[in-house]
Amino acid sequence: MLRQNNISWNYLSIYYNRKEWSRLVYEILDFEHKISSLSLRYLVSFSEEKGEHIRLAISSLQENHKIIRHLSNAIFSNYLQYKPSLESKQYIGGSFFWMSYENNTLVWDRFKHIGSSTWEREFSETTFKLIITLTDEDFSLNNFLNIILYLLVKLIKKIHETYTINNRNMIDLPFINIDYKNDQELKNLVNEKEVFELLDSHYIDSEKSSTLEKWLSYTQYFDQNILLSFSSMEESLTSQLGINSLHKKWVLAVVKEWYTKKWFPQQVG
Amino acid sequence: MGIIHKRQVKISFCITCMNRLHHIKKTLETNIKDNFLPGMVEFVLLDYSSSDGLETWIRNEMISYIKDDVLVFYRTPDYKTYKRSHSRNLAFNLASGKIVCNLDADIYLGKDFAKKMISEFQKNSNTFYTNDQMIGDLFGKVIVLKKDFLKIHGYNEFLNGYGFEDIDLYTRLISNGLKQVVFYEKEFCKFIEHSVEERIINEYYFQELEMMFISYINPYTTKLFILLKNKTCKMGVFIDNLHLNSCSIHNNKSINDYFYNDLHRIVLEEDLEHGIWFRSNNVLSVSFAIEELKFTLEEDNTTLINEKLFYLVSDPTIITQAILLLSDCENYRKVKKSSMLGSKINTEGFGSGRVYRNFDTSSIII
Repeated sequence: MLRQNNISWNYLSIYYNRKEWSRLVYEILDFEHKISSLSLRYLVSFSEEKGEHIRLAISSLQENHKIIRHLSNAIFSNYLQYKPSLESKQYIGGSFFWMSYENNTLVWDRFKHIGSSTWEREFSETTFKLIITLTDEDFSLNNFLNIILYLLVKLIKKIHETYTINNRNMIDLPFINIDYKNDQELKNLVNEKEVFELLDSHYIDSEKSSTLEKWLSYTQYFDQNILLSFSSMEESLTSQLGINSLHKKWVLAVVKEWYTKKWFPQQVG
Repeated sequence: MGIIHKRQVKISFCITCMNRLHHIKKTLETNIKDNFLPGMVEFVLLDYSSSDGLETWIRNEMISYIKDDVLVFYRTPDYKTYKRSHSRNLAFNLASGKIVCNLDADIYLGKDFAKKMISEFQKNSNTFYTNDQMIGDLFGKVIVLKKDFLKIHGYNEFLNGYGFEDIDLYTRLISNGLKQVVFYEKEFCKFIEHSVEERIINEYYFQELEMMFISYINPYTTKLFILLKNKTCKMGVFIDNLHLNSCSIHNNKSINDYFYNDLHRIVLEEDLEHGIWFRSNNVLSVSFAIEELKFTLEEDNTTLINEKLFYLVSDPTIITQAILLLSDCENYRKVKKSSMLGSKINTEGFGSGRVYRNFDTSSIII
């Protein structure tokens, strides 16, 4: 539990097989509705740290803290009892440093607060609502990576449409240090032609849902600071979706390569 | 940026290098050209017993900068493994500048960084400078007056291996009355991304590792047992306090206070147990101070030690992670202990060693 001023937070990790997250997400959405009169913020994120799990960070007035805790515990314990997920992927001893929590368990107060600013929390809520519309019930890592690529391209397009920027700023987006061609780990993950065609189609496609519009509108919080808007939104997005550092590097490397080839072909070596 | 007058103080950028030629090739000349102020800037490159051709490359490609007295090349051939604290102390001792800067081989200084630093020290001599300590790759970059560095006896040479030697240095500088100033300018924060393994590949634990075993106690407690080629071994329990206390509020007065808080990092539960080991046929025998153990490795690469199941680790990523943690936590524990006891640092001197300068092997400096 975290307490600041008169607001307190409950942090709950629900360890559940990733392949069945779509089921659990429905329960999470339903619970949000049930406690809407008691809670202030309801932030959902995904993680594979110490096991596959979904995280809920729920804030409330202090007087409602205990009841939210009690309700969360009761409802999700009941859910896990009657709808347990299959065992998560088996890890071979020696192939990890910290063991995972058991599948189908609830763990309290073991993750970090999602940002401390109003912007970060609102953005997180909007991101979750947007992700639900985009996943099509597929919460696999592969689909998450596709969604991130899609959203980063949309973000770049929004930045292009919104700001008058000189060429130097356009290339100076925060993936400048990443060079996947010289990185053994990353090199094997990238199939350029396929991915770039996909990113092109995302950029060209002009259809936008209202949720996506709202998500993209968060760039306005950064005045005209393009670097900050891109890096803050990207960081928040990848963190909320539980993307590890290798996959995050991959995403940024791919976007950089696509971006450079598309707008600065003379810089491609 | 500040007007640089003649007879300004000199800044020495000290680069210590063991088998990082591939990084030096990318950064050294760029750094020199971006900060080309002959007489006011010196690059001290200490080749710490590299075996990747660094000396040959410097002689072939960078000789003009040596002739300009902008680059000074030193080499010590005496070390099998990289010692962070010792190598840096040695390089700093060799520096001729009044201002010294630790510069890793994979770091770009940025244009006019030297000018900026010289100007800064003209305004504030009671300070030292570091990058944003939240960026791991830039952690070690520190700029300080050489006299202040020497006053606190440099990097602590009791700290072997990766981790915490920087924080310890900064803390002692602060305790000695200096103010830490952090610079965030993007142009001074560029570096070459590289693998985690590369950070430790030349260090003692990595080079000497024979076998590694892990036992799992719970999701935030792990026991590690390593056997080294020199027939010594170590065992210790790691606790992930970072995970256990992740949602607590941080009320730290400074960045360095944050790093000294047990609650916000991974720690060793107790001092490491030290022992010796030998193998006879399939049986491994280990002697610690208070017990002797014998165990065999099963076909599934597990073993029982004191009725606890241990797994042989062969995954290079986990080996790297474990060595990093071991090194960092061991150093952290040493620092906290010596701080509590009020122990003095490097009482028998620091940064000593045999080197030769600019390829002149006939003249060894000690």
